[in-house]
Amino acid sequence: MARVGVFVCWCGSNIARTVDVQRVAEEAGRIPGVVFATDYKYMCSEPGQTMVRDAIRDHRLDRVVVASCSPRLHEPTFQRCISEAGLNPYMVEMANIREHCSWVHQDKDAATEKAIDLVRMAVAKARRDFPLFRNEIPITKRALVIGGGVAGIQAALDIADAGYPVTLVERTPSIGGRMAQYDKTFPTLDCAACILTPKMVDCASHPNITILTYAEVEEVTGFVGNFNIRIRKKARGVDMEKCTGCGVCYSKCPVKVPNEFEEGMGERRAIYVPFPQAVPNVPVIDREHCRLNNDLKCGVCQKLCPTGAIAYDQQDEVVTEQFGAIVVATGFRMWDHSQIGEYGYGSIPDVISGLQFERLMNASGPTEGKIVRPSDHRPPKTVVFVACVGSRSENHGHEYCSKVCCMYTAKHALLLKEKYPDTQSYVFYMDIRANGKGYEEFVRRTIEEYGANYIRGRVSRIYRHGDKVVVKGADTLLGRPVEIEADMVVLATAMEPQEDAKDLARKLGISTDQHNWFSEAHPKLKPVEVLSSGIFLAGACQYPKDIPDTVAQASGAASKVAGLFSKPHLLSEPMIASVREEDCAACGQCVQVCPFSAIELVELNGKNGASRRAARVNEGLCHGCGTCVAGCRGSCIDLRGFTNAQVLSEIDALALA
Amino acid sequence: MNSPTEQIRTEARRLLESGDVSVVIGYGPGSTPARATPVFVRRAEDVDRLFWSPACAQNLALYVREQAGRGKVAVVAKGCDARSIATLIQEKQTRREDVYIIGVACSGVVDPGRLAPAGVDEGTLKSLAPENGGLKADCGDRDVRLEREMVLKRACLFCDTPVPPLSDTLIGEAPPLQPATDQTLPEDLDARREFWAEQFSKCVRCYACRQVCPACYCKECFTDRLPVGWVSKRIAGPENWMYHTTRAFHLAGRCVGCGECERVCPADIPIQTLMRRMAGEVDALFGYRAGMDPDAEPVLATYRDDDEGPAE
Amino acid sequence: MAETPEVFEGAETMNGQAAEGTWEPKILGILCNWCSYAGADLAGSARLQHPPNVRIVRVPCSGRVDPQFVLKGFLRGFDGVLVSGCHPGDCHYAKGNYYARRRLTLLTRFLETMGIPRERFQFQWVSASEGARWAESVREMTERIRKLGPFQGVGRPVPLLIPVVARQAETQPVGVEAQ
Repeated sequence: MARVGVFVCWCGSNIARTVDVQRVAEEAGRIPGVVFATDYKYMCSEPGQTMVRDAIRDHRLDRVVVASCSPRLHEPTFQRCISEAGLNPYMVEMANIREHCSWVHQDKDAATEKAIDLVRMAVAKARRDFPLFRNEIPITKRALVIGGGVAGIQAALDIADAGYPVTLVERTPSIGGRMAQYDKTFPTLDCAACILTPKMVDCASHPNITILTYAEVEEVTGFVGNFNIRIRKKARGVDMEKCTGCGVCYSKCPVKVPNEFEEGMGERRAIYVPFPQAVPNVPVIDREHCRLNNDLKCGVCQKLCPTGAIAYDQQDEVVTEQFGAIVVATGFRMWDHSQIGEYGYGSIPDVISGLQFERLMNASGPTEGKIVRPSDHRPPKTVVFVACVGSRSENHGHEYCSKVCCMYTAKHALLLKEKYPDTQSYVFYMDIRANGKGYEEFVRRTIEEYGANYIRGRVSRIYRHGDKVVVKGADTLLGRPVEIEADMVVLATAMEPQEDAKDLARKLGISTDQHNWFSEAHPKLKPVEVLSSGIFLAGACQYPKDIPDTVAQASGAASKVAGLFSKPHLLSEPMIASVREEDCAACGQCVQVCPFSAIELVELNGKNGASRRAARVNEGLCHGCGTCVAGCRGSCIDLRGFTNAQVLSEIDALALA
Repeated sequence: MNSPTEQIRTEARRLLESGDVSVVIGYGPGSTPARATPVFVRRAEDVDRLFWSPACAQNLALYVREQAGRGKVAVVAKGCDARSIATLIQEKQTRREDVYIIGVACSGVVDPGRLAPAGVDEGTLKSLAPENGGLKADCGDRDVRLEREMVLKRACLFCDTPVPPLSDTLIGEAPPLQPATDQTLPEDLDARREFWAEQFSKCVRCYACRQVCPACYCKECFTDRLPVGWVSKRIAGPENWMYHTTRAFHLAGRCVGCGECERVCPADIPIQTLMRRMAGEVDALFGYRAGMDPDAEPVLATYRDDDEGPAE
Repeated sequence: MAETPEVFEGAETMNGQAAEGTWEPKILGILCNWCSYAGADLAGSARLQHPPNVRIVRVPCSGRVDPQFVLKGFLRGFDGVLVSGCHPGDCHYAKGNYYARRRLTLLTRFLETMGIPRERFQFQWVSASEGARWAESVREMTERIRKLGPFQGVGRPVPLLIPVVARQAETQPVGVEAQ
């Protein structure tokens, strides 16, 4: 038989003014199971807490009910208090007779009756309290960063600097990501390579960082602290140990294909490094295009390689490694504007994307920094920039703002004028969104000092006329149509999630929004976490971001990882679901409804050696919402701290009065 | 064309001879022509134990679950039975590849308990056969024409899936039947409350409804979870109400309306009236009908962003 | 788990009060911890007065609310049941309230089948900042149920076949020490 003590708080006059606290204590003393009941002016004060501890000792209480303020306020206080007296901290229940009673009612009799009822309910629940514990969960203190762009690089460096080993997985042959393609960065006009490549080199030389390029995550199992991750290291065709990065191999390769890094505007060979500053500086063989792989005679690179590093028959290598935390930094891709009929379906050579323009401006790009028209390699005189191409457009499936286009378009216009003072640029825009440090000033400079002609309005049609590109649109401020004969048009196309973002989300067990951007755990307070513990987001895989935001979030993700790893072990939540495995029929409903993928069906050894299945809760993942419990018909899964028996006893408590 | 009985036997023989299945679960003749009994045929030479008649009332999905994990089984299934099997697949109690469904298009089965009120003495009954949308009972001295409404399992009158929505082979054709509308429940809410109070006061908590239900497969029913306190063992009106309402909710989106619960109820409680209402609400709210798609997610284990709910 | 076997007093409900002519609606409230319970707390700290007729059970999430809790509330003679959770999209556990919405919307309709009007069961969203909305919902529901009158219970007594031995109340007199 439980021995419950009830402690009724006056909260000065906050409760006592409206509730007859003495009567509540008297009535509480008559409730079955209550062996001690009292009231006091301030239960949470040191004398009040001493009173609770003394009563636990003197009356051999094993459960405590405090009738006072909201448990949201003082439950931790009294949990601490009773554990100091030797009780398990979860043997206390609170009856909220202040926020839910004395503060909102005036009729003293009715408020007192209600307070007594609330105490009855708390006592009923307390009688079914049982000790709860936090279990220790070991942590593998190694982090996996997926994606080697600036977000992944920053996260890897920060985690490594905190003293933990990091593996950085990148699926292309080099780390660097999108940022490596950019020319200069707004609003400071630093050269992207000048600020990125040192970080790439730092990554490569950091003793705590292992870089796996040309590798992809295949399977993720386990949970926070204990992920098992299968990674496929695609066959590079080049022995990374032997290669010195001299570059002889690709200088003589006879195959030429469009270069992805140059957004199709330059060429690369079948054996190649994507760009000169690639990390690692080891070429890969593009098997799709390599002559040898297509049953043609070749072998030139192998003959030329001075170290014998070429290994045509290299196979993919699959490794499974343990990690304690994962940072997802897989970035974005640019929407393909060839879907827009009115902009020429991508068939007009001098209509290019913003990223292509970056490559044209870049000194190490296909034109070595000379801005020329793709069609005839002549420098353009009049350039039209179009913002919001595909963004903020339900028609094109992106209701969202891609966030960076306003700024890079202003940057393009400015740099164009700076390089070629005799050019004229026009910018079609919907709104100018320049909400970053120094951003608005940058746009104003582009307009006022560099003479970019900003036209508010949508472009309705782009078509070829002779060797010109005609842009038709409307100036909505002046309310009249505009027609510009341009030499070149640059489209600020929408940012999109990676094509396979949904697949990766499925592997990781994380959710995505309707566009397939990865979903954070809370839009305001948990922007770095996802709902599954131990997985963090960095950069534009979550939503379009510029470089400062990306880097900030990457550092945030890294600090979350370091925080996780700084503990000796994880502690499970005490109030989580648990399964009576012997009764579970393994219907799997709990598995399906769990928001945290914390439940799985496991094989059990049944009678006579036959195996059967039952649900099992992963204590490291369960957050204790109880959604699984309410769906379990056989009451085979229950929520510690809010068991079916406890909730039902609270409901029963009043009827039994 | 061969009779359904012949077709079932032929199919069973083929399955057992080829070794495709280890057992064929079907119906055999029962103690009277109005009754069938489940039979388990494991050898090809025994297939003549199988038959088909309007007496094949049981939902054999009940046994499919028991056989789960013991190799592939074949089962004779009416529309409702096949839907039960689909539900079991959805709830991982068996796998589609472990069940071979010998589907039978069904025009309703007999509830032997309704024969006597229809003027037929089951003791002297010689045979019972379909005839022009009704049944012909050979009572030895005379033939009696029985209308469906008089003697079928009540649930059959409301059936809208006489043909199994999933099957590996199908015997027979869809009968030209229109499901009836259940008008048992009063419109007035107070009258409804009274109605159920009256009905549940008859319940003796024998749990036959639960035992016969293929979807009631919990190892321990909530009624037996006494320490949890869902419902007491006491046979009292409110406690009986709690049992039946809870069971109805546990079967929400899962009950296929086979009506076995109602057929076996010794107190004649119109359990299916409750279940049909629940199924109707599930369909109206979520566009979901139990057991129509073995690949569908159970309706309460999923949600849509635009589900009906309270005002924001 | 330390489960104490419970003794049930099935037919005993709170309706005894009605006979005495002092009937006040008694409403069971089941509130999620993160939004609605916090909203009710806010109504308290803002001193938003509302009728004292609701008895609140706190659960972590509206997804924790088993429809049987509501059925049990009616069985035990509550005149109304109020379940309140986070608005869609605001769930502390991201999705719990979406499952609750399916279960409890279905329950609302099912209760009508059982002859319990939907006025007696309210399922609503109240956020942690909506103290006023909480107070208003309690006012509305209390008045609505006051108009409907006492709930007439869910079943009629069954003639007893077996004599029931009266159980001695397990209450023991205890010394009440008041300050």
